[in-house]
Amino acid sequence: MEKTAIELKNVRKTYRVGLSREFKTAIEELSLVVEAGGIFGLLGPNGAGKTTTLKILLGFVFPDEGSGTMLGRPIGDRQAHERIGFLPEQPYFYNYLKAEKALDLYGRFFGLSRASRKSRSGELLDTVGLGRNSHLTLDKYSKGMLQRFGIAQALLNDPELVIMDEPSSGLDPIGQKEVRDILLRLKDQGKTIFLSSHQLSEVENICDSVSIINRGKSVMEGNLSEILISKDTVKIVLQGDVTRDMEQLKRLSAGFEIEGDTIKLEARRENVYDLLEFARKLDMDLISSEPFRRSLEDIFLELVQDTGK
Amino acid sequence: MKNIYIIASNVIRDAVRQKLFYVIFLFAIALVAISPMLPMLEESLKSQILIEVSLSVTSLFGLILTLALCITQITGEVTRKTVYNLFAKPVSRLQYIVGKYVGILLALAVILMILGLEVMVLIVLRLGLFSPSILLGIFAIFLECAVIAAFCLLLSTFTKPAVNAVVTLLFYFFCHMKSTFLFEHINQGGSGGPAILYYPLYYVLPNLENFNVFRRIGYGEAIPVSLVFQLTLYAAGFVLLMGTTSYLIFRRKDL
Repeated sequence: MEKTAIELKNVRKTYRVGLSREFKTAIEELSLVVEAGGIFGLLGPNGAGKTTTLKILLGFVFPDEGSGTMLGRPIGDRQAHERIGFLPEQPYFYNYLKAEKALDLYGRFFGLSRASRKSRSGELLDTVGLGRNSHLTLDKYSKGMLQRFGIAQALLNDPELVIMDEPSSGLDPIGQKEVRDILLRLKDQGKTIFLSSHQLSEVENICDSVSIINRGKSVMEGNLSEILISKDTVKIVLQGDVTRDMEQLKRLSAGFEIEGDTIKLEARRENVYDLLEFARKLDMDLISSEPFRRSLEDIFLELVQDTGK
Repeated sequence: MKNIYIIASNVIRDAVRQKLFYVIFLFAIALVAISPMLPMLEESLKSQILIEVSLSVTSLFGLILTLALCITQITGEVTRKTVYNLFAKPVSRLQYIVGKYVGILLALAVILMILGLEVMVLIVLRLGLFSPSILLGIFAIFLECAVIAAFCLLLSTFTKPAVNAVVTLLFYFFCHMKSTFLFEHINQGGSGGPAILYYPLYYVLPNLENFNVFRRIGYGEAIPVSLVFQLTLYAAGFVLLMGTTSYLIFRRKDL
């Protein structure tokens, strides 16, 4: 298995606006590296270029400049497509087919035998909770059911790399939880999952690394825990007599909050020892001290606003 | 080959779903409608006219069927985004185009064969005449439809269905007028605005009248094997040209 699942180098993509000579830039100098194994999240506001990025990876659209590889093969290469699964945003299928027939059709493209298509289809439809509806044609499916079906067809060939555009779109909270569980199970099996999503909490819960793009450019990329954990700020919880003079503590803190006899502080790393020394003088007990963790939403909003939405 | 077969079989499945095979019953009704005019004809002309008219009606049904099968074939899939799921699988764009075309040809072949048998049955029932040469006429119609289908599929790679239908119909009429209207215009040394259009049309378009062997079959003339071979090569040449153009357009098309 390749060490790098996906790599894009300086990719640029423009679209002509209608019939005019004007061009709109969808992707600009985008570079991306997705290591094999784990879950990678591609984030960005609407129109940031997420779907275009996925389309370039899959060979649906062609970049004006730049290059890329997927599972060690050039993007758009059919041999790589033997080993990937894809769930498009708002999945569209041949809706006149029954779910099991549609999976059978897609399975044939991977050269699966009739018996393995049948067993794999049944197994996957059960996994995504459609086992009892496999005899229905897809035009009878709700949006959520189509999304589940889309996930099933993306996993048909037991892919090494699964690319998903908004995997939880249209799903209720139970469905979202089930999708999350499926993705985590795939990760445990050593698969690579590349997903684009608007749901920051979902990404924060399951992704190992992320790339945030805005206006077609990558504005942040890296390991999610390293991105979320602040190197400069520490979160400290103290307990004691809160009626005493706290001015010195407040002065040394970036954030200060009292709840009953507990004080929650955020302090810059260089102030931590002074702050703890002062707390000791006030006879306060140290309950906990840990690196400050920001939410992905905060970081996302900050980056998107900084780079101009 | 495997992918081409899968795509082609799905085209036929789609044709069944769209109830295109119902055309067989409509055609039978059309043939029954022709029958009442028989008593008005002279005895010696009956078989000649019935065969010619029946094959002309078959040709018209072939055109309608080809349009119905082709105009939304690629554009429709791109618009509905069902192509995403195909091209995410190990399917190349060449396999897709060829698979679609083969599927269309197979559907046309099956339906035209049934229509041909209906014509033969009608002639046996009405005139007591068994005329297997009608199947040669059906084959010529199939070749003509194959050329029209290739053109329609080519348009389907970049136009909307309504535009496709109109342009394909124009293509059909101009190709049938090649040996009459266009030929006469060019030989009369026409110049000015329309000539700019007529000259390229005359030299580029296939002559679909070549496939009109209905009168000869009606007169009971033997159709030589060499003619069938020539017509097949003629159709294959245009199909190859238009198929290659379709692929060149679709190969780098953003979906």
